[in-house]
Amino acid sequence: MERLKKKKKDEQGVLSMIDAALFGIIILVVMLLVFQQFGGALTRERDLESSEFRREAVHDIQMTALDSIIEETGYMNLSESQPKSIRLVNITLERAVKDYLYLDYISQNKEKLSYDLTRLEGDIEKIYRICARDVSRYNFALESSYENSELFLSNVQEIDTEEDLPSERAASTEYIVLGTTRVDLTLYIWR
Amino acid sequence: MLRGNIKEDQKAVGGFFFDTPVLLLIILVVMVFTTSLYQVYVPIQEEKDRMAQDRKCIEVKNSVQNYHQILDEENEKFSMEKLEVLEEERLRSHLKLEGDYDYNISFEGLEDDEVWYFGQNLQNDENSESGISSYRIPVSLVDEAGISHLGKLEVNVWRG
Repeated sequence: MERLKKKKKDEQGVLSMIDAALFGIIILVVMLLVFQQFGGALTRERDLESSEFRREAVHDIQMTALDSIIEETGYMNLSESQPKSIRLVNITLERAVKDYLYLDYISQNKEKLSYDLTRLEGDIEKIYRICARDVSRYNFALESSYENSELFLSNVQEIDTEEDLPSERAASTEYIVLGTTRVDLTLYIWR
Repeated sequence: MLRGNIKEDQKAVGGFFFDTPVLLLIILVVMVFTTSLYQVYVPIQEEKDRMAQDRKCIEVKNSVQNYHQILDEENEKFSMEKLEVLEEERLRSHLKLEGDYDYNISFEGLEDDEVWYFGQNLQNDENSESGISSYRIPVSLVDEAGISHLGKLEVNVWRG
């Protein structure tokens, strides 16, 4: 009889332990689910905010860069037997981009005309490098095209086309008018 | 009136000893739960505060960009001449920074290293990446002759 009573009490004890263990497991599962929800929501909010920061920054960088003055730049006219250096003084970056696209277009479409635009391209990149990389600490890429002429530059060597750009980026497109054609000038930034 | 013999009431005594490990287990689980909750809640709250501070930083930047007292009348760019005479109090009242936020704003000419500085100085202990929201953008600064120069606007916001 005593042995039976003891066995019953032992069973009660084991059952209580199982109940408590179940309680513990349920609490831990609920805890994990709650934390997962919190964490996910916070990450989404953080991502949203980072993209808002980038959106603000890309617009500010683009507007300032377009207004910037290039004190001295130029290009080489290779059309004649003797290459001729053309000097451009105090021009806006917008004008520099227009000149680049137009002269590149002419180089490609008129057999007798040829230009070396390396310096002009370098000075455009220099302004964007100061604005995006040095001041705001973003990587950047600039893309524009006019007819079959294209301008694509970036501070990252591996990025040669739009497809190479990272997915987490912000873009700002401003348009400039070249002749009677509207030309889009898109700036991408990312960290 | 006691029913039965108290000496035979082994259940009460035994029951307490059966419940002790169970109680300990429950207490342990509750402690693990509250500790974990606290350890998750604190960084989440810090992150939320940081996000609010970042938003405040953008608000300050937008407010500065639209402050006509420092913009050139002709082209809406920042005027060096007006920055030179801008009073700290006027800027502070324009920004209307609520709460316990502090700020500093600097305009820096990239060609001549000229700097216009407004707001509180950053203390060393506050000068950590985690405590400050910073926003740096290039801006155009116009001199007295109307010539535009490339500059930098930096806005820092932190909790005072």
